[in-house]
Order: sequence, then C-alpha cells, then structure tokens
Amino acid sequence: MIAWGRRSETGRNIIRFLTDRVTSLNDSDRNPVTTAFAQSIRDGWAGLAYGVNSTLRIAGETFRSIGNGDWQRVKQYGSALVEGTVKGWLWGGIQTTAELLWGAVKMVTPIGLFETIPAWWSSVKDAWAGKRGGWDVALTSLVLLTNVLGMYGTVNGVRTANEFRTFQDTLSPSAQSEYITLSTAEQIRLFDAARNTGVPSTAIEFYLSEIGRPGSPLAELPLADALKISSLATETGQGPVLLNYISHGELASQSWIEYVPIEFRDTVIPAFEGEEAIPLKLTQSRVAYRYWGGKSEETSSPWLTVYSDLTAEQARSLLALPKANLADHITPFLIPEDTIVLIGKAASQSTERWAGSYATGGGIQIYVPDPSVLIKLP
Amino acid sequence: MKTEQIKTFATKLIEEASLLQQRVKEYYNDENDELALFLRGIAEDLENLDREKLRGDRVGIYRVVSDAPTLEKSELGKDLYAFNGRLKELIAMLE
Repeated sequence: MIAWGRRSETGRNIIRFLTDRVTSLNDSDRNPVTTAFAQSIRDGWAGLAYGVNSTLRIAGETFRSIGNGDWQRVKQYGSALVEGTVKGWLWGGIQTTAELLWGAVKMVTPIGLFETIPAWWSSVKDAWAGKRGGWDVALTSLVLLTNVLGMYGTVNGVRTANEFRTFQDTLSPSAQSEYITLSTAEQIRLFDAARNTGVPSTAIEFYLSEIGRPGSPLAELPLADALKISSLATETGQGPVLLNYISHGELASQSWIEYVPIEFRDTVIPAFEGEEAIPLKLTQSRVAYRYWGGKSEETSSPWLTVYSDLTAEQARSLLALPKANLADHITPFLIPEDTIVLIGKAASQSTERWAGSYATGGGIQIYVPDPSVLIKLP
Repeated sequence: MKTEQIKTFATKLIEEASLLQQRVKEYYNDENDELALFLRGIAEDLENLDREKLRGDRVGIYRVVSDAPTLEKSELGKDLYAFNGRLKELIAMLE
C-alpha cells in the first residue's frame, strides 16, 4: 500500500525529486544549456526593466524641465531621451529581432546542426563520463530533434511552394484563365483542397469552368464537396444531370454513411466506388430511373439511377447490377422533396459471384435509404 | 481453440447456406435460380474460409435481396439477412 501526501515517504521523495530537477536545471556544471537559457532570460528581463526605468526617468526629467522653463536641461535630457530611444530601443530592437530571426533560420536549416550536434555529442560524452546527468542528454536531444524537424518542415514547405507554383501549369488554358481570376487566398485554398481530395485535374477544370458561370450550384458548396461532385461529373460524363440534382437539393449535414440504415451500412458502402457518395436532401422533387427485370422487382427497391436511355446490357454493366437483374425494363420514379438521396459512382463488382465480368460499374447510382417515399410514374 | 470455434461456426453456416439455397429454389420454383447458385458459391467460400470473398458475398446478399423487395419482406428474405449477419460475425472471427 503506497501512502500519499506531502508528509508521507512517497510525497517526500517526489518533492525531493522535483527540487533536485529544478536545482539541476540551474546548475551550470550539470546543465549548461538550461542554465545559459535561464541566465539569458534573467539578463534580458533585467535589461528591459533597466531600459524602461531609465527612459521613464529621463522622460520625466525632460517634461519637468519644460514645466520649469529650464531650456538648458530640456536640451540635455531631451537629447539623452532621443539618443536612448534610438540607440537603446530601436537599434536594440533591430538587433534582438535579427538575432531571433537568425536563431529561427538556424533551427530550420542545416546551419543549426553545426551547434546542435556538437552540443548533443558533448552531453552524451559527459554523461558517459559521469559528469552530467541524463537530463542534459534528453534536453540536447530535444533541441537536436527540433532542429531536424525544422529542416523537414523547411523541405516540405519548399516542395509545397513549388507544387503550388506549378499547379496552374497542370490546367488547360481555359481553366488557367479562370484560375488567375481567383485571389491568391482562393488559389491556395483550391490547391490545398485538390491535394487533399486527390481529384484529377479534369475535375478541377470542370469546377473552374462551372464557378465562372453565373448561378452555378457548385459555387455555393464547400470547396471539397464541390470538387468531389466535379470529379464524379467528369468521370461519368454526366455533368449537366448531376448539376441538375445539386441545384435542386442541398448537401445533407452528416456524412453519407449516417443516412444508410445501420444494419446495411457495411454492405452498402462497398457498392460505391471509393466508398464515397454525396448525401443530398432534395429541395424539389426529381425524377430518377430504375432498371429491373428477371428476379429483380420494379418497386420499393432503394437502387436507382439518373440514366433514362441505357440498353439492358449498358445498365447491367455501368450500374454493376446483380446477375438476377436482367434490366430489360425501365421505370421512372418521382423522388419527393425533402428526401435524402445518396449519389455516387457504382463500384465494379466484376469479380463477385453475384455479378460477373460484365459488372464494371462506373455509372451514377442513386441509393434512396427510404424507398417507400418513391412514387412510380406512368 | 479459436480455430476449432471458427471451423464449427463455418460448418453451421455451410449447412444454413444449403438450406437457404433449397428454400430459394422453392420460393422461385427454379432449380437454376441465380440467388440459389450464389448461395452454393458462398458455401464454397465458407469451406475455404476466404475472408475477402465472404466480404463480397455479404455485399451481394444485400444487393440481390434489396433488388427484390417482395423477397426482402418474406420470411426467406429475413432469414437471408440474418444469415448475412452471421457471416459478418464469422468474418470478424477470421480477422
């Protein structure tokens, strides 16, 4: 049983340990790095206090002399005040800023390694010789690690800056002309979103040409979502149909997976390519189509599409329909306003037993989580 | 111990798949029904304890049954979904 509390043996040991650490950090023989750091803070603070104090005192004397009409002293104190301000504050400020910048440059470039590696190696050697404790090694290791991380950050930053600089060149001439109309902040946002979502350049071109069009629904959407839709539009070649849906709906607030009944989630998700779909709440009713036939039934199924003119063979292929669905019938359905629909690309099922090599997918499929709302049209 | 448990569970599911296959044939009155053939294939995947194939089979059961809502609402449809749930348990055991 361990007894706790500051009077207990454990408590005393903890206090002793902490006291020893604090003492150790201020002991130049045991911890030269932290001691020097602490000393520089103390010196800096003392210098600042002295400077503030002297400036206030001379300023006070200057104003008092003005009040007394003693112009000789005004000149004397005034020139001291000006000199102190220029030399002490301005020049000192410039020097301090330059030193801080130089320190930062050293920490993010290999220049710093000329100091951090010898300091680390020296602490390791001293620790081996029993002159210094493990804390010094830990501290110098931390500084060295910071230096290395800083260098990694610099390399990464330079690479990203280069990618951003050449990003425009990856676009078609017409997309480039749209791109240059964006502000630098918007260009950076687009570059960043394109990198994060991994959309192809054709999708970015589609997005740029769309947002240049007045009233485009893509302009109203969060950038990442707009790029996803652009990607789906370019990959399926169904841009106008998709935009028609988007302009008659609003992006649902949750992730698309949340709208799939929980018991079917892990079987619906792989039906969409990249396990991605767009959740849309319709603000106006839309017409969608169902391909069915064979053992597949006409009504009450959640699986629909935007295509109205596919042959049975095309539908089975693009929508990766099950073998049992012959797709030799097509029925239009009205999806009422306020219905949540999930729109995405059908995943390939060509290696699955229940489909076959024909089921390449790649077409736009619509999943209606609650198919009871669908209204069959004549 | 776990391997034995998995084998026992898989054997039960193979038997269940066989029964479901028979019921599907009767439901559709079709000896060569695609869903029945699919269930026979699932039994093979269960014998091989092929996790990836079984994952795809689970997607297929939902895709086929949800494409035929009359079947989905029937006792057979509910039993197919229950079987799908047990497949999920087996896949979890295989991981």
